[in-house]
Amino acid sequence: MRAIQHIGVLALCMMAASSYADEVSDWLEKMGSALREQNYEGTFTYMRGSQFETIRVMHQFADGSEYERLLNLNGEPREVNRHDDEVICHHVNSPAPVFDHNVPLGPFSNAFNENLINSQAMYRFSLLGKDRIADRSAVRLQVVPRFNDRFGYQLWLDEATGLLLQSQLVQRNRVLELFQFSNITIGETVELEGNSSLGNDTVSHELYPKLVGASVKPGLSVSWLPDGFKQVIVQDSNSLHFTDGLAAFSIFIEHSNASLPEMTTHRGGTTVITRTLKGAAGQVTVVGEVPIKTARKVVESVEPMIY
Amino acid sequence: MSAYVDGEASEIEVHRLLRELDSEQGLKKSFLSFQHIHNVVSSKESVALGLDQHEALFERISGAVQAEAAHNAGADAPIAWQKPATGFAVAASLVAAVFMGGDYMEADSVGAVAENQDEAISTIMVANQSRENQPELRELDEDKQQKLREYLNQHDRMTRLKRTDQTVNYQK
Repeated sequence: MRAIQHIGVLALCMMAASSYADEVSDWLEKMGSALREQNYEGTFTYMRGSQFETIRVMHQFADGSEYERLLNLNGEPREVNRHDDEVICHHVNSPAPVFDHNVPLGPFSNAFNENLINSQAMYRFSLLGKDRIADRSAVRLQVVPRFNDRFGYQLWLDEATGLLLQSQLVQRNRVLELFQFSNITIGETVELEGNSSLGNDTVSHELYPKLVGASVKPGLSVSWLPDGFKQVIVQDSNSLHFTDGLAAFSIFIEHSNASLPEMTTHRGGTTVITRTLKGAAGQVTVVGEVPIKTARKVVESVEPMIY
Repeated sequence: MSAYVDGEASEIEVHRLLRELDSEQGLKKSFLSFQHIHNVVSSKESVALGLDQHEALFERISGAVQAEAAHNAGADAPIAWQKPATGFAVAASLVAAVFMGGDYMEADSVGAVAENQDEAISTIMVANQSRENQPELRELDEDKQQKLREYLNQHDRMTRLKRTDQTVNYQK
């Protein structure tokens, strides 16, 4: 009789756990579809190290296509317009426009939501109740890495729509990067007309490189990677990029004399390590959203590839 | 303060602490003592910096930051947004570079990136384990700053791509 009771309790526990996992998955899927399919307009802030950006976003979903406009409100007027996978950056015309700039979108990018949904093997997800962000009721979701060789996230999703309202990149309890809407309107018609709100006197450039397949052989090999990281297609033999679906790091190699000193540093959650190349002239640099210990193990395992 | 020395303080807490350090001499002394103790406790070999050296570096960096802020204020600036609020960002990063050094000193040289709001890397200080285990602070020239900026930007752009369906395994 007691054995039957135990089996009954165990079955109930398993059903509860399964239901909980389903609820987490539902929220992740809801977030993914909300970022793509909701119309919304608002202002968010993004902080990484000493970098602090305030950006206005407008997002429209129409006829199966996404249109998005991101205008940074501080510093140089710069606008990023996205139509599905095509991303163009517009600058106010000046004698010497700077195209070699960062685009601090934080997790507010097309890649973030899709990668999160596919990262459940490397991270544990849990719901932490409700909160209030930008005057909206939000559900709090914790993303904890299964191994301490990478960072975690805390996410706040709009309770009504699943839209991501706030996220933190965290190492233990320390916030390394912060993304947060300060105000947002969801579900109303958003008009994105014309090429740029900066006017006609602008200069533009395509933001992201085209990925052209894996025909290029890399000029380096890596003998150690954190579990779950896989290589991303590259078009450059002097760089490699890896991701576990959520975290990412890049390796750059220079075969000439070292252009940077050996150093270890970080900017928010982004670690940078440079080392002299083993057994050959040159230098290797690791840049990524991984802890310093992880980046150090990677950089020490890099060797030049000889064909 | 102890959270910062242990590397557990948030960025907002670091900024607040740095502001208070700048205004209160007594607090700065306490902070330096905290850091010195932390270095002694965590060091596996020799302690890289003495208490007086920490303080000298702090003064040197503060002076450099103030000089840079004054330089920026006096320079011709045809467009006002080109260098907004650089001084504070540089101060935060450079002070962090010195005092966070103890965490990485075991095998690494130590560096920190100081960026302005335009995401450009305005100043980089690198501390190398050089003669007699004394860290050496020096500024990277423009070419090195440019190279590091290229790496950071290239990495950032790769992370924005849809990646899960684009992973590959090379055939060796």
